[in-house]
Amino acid sequence: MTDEVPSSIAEAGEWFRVGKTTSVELTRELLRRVHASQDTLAAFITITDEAALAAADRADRERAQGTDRGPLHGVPLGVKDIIATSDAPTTANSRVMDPSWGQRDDATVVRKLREAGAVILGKLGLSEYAIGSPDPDTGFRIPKNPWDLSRSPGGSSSGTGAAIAGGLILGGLGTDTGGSIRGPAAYCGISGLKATFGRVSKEGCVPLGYSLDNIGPMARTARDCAMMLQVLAGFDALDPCSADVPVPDMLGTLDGSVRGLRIGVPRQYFFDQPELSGEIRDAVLKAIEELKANGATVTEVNLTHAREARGAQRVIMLGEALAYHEKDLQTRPELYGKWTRGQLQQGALFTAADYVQAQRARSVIAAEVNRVLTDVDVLITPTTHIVAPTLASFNPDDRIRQPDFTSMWNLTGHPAMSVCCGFSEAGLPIGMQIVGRAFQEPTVFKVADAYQRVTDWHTRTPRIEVQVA
Amino acid sequence: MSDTVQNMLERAKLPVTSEELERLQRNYSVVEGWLEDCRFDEARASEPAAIYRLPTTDS
Repeated sequence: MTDEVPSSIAEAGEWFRVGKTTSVELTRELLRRVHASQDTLAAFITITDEAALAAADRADRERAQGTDRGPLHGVPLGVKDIIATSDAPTTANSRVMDPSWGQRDDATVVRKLREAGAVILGKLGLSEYAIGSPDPDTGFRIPKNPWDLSRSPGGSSSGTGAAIAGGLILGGLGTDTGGSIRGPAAYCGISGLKATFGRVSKEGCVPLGYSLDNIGPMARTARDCAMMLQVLAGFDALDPCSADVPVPDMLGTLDGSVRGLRIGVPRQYFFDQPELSGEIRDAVLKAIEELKANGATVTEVNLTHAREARGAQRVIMLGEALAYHEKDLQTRPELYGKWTRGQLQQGALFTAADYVQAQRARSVIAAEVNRVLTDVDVLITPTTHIVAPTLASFNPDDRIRQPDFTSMWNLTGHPAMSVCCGFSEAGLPIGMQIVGRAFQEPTVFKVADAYQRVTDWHTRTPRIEVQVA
Repeated sequence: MSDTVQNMLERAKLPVTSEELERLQRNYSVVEGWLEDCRFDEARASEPAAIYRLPTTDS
């Protein structure tokens, strides 16, 4: 094969079926790109060449013998380096991390991907412990945004976003406690889903906020994310947060139609923040108009406590994170990156009563979202209020004062997805967030997939591919 | 306020540098805002969400 690679997981499956490439050929080419881009994109922390090629060879042999493990069979993917794998250490991008995480079995989600025949190229970079910020203190490389290497790919699933947008993998796992899948998806111009809390097992993932954490799929298209979620979803007795609910057909609803679907637009808070970029507001509103033109109905809805959701999510996340990191912060704080340490220390600034009060607010806010979602099928908002910022301009003190459109859905547990809905004048991707009812991910995918059938934003690729070719 | 932040960090036995303490004190008003945001009237009358079973469905 040439150095041409399929643009999506779905296309890779087609190429395998018609013999246009093999898993080994595709894996070799992508590994070449991964190595060639480590000094620019820096998407990976550990590259597992040998294991990947062995898995690719196994997939090719199985296919030749007539065994088809499904849409991920032979497809090269990556795993955020906060999720355990049996063939590589798990660093969480931290000098604090317990090395025993590299000596355990695959996390449940990794086991499921391998059983589906996926080829895992390695462990992807992230913000330290999924809460830190781009920080050379941690000793690991900082992933860059393929659309502009001076800019952030978002966090905390920075490596996954960079690797997919940069054409190094066809899909990958991210984790999301307040927007860590959807933010990088928006900044990198790809698709990413935080499923309903409990839908995907988080066994084998280093915790950040126990009641907010999610593992989820990131890929170029909504259809690819649906293919991945079909494999990842399901009850797991090893995860106390796992939901024992049936897993629906994630792909069956993807017929390209939004006719009759009801879209709710919460203008208050999500569209009226002074910090919201005009380019982003306009792009998301235009995307909503596109969906309307294709048969959806659009109504304005009101989420009374959207502003307060941010505070409740922060108090819960920081309280839970401090509980996990307390001993290390007390005994060896110097090993954390300074931004990570600063974030975690904030968890000491409130009381147990404050934490419980945040959980009380959470009940009210989740119930309100459920009520609104009885009248509409999905909600649409911007994913982020700005496009990818430069790494040099990063200031965590500014960041905690900025509006936040993603963490509300971690608080309430509803599924939320980001898809690309345009580009800024500077050529940077813009993300649109689609939020669905609990355990109704197929409806979220249906809207996202229908949008991607009538637009081509998700097909655009950054010039970095030229640099690594 | 500076005493409040320092006392809470000491109670949590978290060592901080002077620079970190200054930053936490500077941002404490944001944290206070979060805590205030969680105390709207309906939230004061609500049961807390259970950590392992979120109120995402009525079932």
